Amino acid sequence: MTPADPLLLITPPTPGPPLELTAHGVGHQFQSTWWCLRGIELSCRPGELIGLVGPNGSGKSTLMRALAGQTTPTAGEVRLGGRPLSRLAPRERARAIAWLPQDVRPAFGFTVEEVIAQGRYPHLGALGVSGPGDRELVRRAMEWTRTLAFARRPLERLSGGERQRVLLASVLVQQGRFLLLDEPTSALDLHHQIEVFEQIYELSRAGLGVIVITHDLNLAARYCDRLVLLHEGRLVADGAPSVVMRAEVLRPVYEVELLVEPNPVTGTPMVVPLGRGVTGGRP
Amino acid sequence: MSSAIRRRWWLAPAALALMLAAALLAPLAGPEQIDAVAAARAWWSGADAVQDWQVDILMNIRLPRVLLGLVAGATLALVGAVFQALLRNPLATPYTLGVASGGSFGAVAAIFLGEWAPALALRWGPIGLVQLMAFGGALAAIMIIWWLARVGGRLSTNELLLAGVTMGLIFSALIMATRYLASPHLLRDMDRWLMGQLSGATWGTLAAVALPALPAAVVLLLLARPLDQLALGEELAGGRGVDVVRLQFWSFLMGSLATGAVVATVGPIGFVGLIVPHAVRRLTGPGHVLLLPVSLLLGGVFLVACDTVARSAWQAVEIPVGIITSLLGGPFFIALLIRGRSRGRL
Repeated sequence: MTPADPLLLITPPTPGPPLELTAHGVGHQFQSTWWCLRGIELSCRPGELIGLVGPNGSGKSTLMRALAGQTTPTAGEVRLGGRPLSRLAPRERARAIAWLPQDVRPAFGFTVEEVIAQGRYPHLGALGVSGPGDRELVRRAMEWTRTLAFARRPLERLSGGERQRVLLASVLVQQGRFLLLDEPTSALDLHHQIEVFEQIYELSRAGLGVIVITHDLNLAARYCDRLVLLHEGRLVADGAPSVVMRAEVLRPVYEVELLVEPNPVTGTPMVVPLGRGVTGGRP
Repeated sequence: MSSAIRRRWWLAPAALALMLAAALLAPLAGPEQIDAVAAARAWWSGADAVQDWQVDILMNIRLPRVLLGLVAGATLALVGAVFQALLRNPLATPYTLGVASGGSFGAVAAIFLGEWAPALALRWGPIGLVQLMAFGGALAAIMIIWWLARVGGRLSTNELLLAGVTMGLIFSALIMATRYLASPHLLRDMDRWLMGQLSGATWGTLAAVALPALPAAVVLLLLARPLDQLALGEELAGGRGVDVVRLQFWSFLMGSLATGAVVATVGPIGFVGLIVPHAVRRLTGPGHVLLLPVSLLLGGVFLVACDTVARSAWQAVEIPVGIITSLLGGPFFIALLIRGRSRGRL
């Protein structure tokens, strides 16, 4: 079997200038006194893979929710091709932006195939009947994510790596121009982490705009075109991995002693955390 | 592997056939033996209820009762399935969100008031003070819970669940207080009502339940696809373009209104709304496009079957159907659980 071409999953680009997903002065507060996001300026173009990084609680997930149109920011706005997201109907927005939240808990024993087919929801009519085109797309997505083998198994019976591939397939069939992934590798072992990054890298080369939240700076630096670093709700660095992955940038944000060196094989920057003090807290 | 149990589309026509069979056969059962052929012939030749006692029993007593059972059981099972999806909780029932306890308090209060102020004990066709106050109590519960769950802007599943359970406890305390104050001979009426029963059904009571329940059922059946989306969580559903707040609003409102109409008329008949969706899910799989209509049809069949047992098992005495649903349904459900476990299914 020849490997499936991810291009087959992606809608051909519309004529005209490429759509951009942009955040303009986005700020958000949960309580009246606390801003968890402030003044975020960000843009993502099709074909770009952006790693959204930062310590726990720095506002990454909130920013991603705003970019997905799931949270209306308290200040500023998110636009898709210049149009404010808040003016788009939910299904129209979902056809352009696919979001995989971090907290996906399966229930009621839906099978892998059913979960992936449900991703077609924004493209189906009022009665939600899927046609042969939808089924063909679902089959291609399963082929590309190698989930065909357990198509009939309930989602809750899969291992973490298998489940992540299924969820990726379910957001791919949504055929958005932009793909937002909230910590897709958080529960995975080394092999499956790399697998996910290779897949989303391939998708971005095929023309998707991808933003991925991760805590693994080294993988992010290896695969992403750009890294965006958040700290206490503010954007503190935005640029190529070589610009963001510098000790003087990372040290104050993560509050650890660290060393940044080029990866001996790939040459991309690599972080080696040392500890909370210079000696690392160990003798 | 569980694939074998999925997507059995023939289940829908089969359930429909079962429901039609229940509607035709259940009226023939009962303490009075009825010769179906003779009654049909008499009816066909134009005999009315006054001329033929068999036609009288069939048309004025048993048929409205069987149809009321079908509508009530269908509504409770459908709403149970919808609320289980809405709350992402397999233990949810139509009563989880406080509708039944609000309705029960309304009914008990009406029975209490009826003695103190007989002038209130009016009847408008099938609707008396008890039905009116029961429906009012259900509506009050719906509004309070909706308001509680909306505090903070967005409705949360957990808050909805907690609000419903808490309101249920408060209404239970109010029922106890009313019973404590009521004179002893009223307690029997209250107990009878709280057990739930289909006796005394007329075409009027049938209309009082069906008129609100049928449109609500249509709306709920149309929500099957979006309800599927909720299974993997509100966030993923929202990202796929489901308007989650609107979905929650309509399924909660329509489900509660239909349940309120049922409870106001037949009392809080238990178990149908929990057991039928679970049993049906084992046959149809979790997809709501099949689960909802099959639950609706088999919910009606289940309640009619229980009611047929209730009114014909012991010749002289009629047992409230609420007792039978739990006594028959409980062991059946436990058997399902044990069988499912031995096959390695959830």
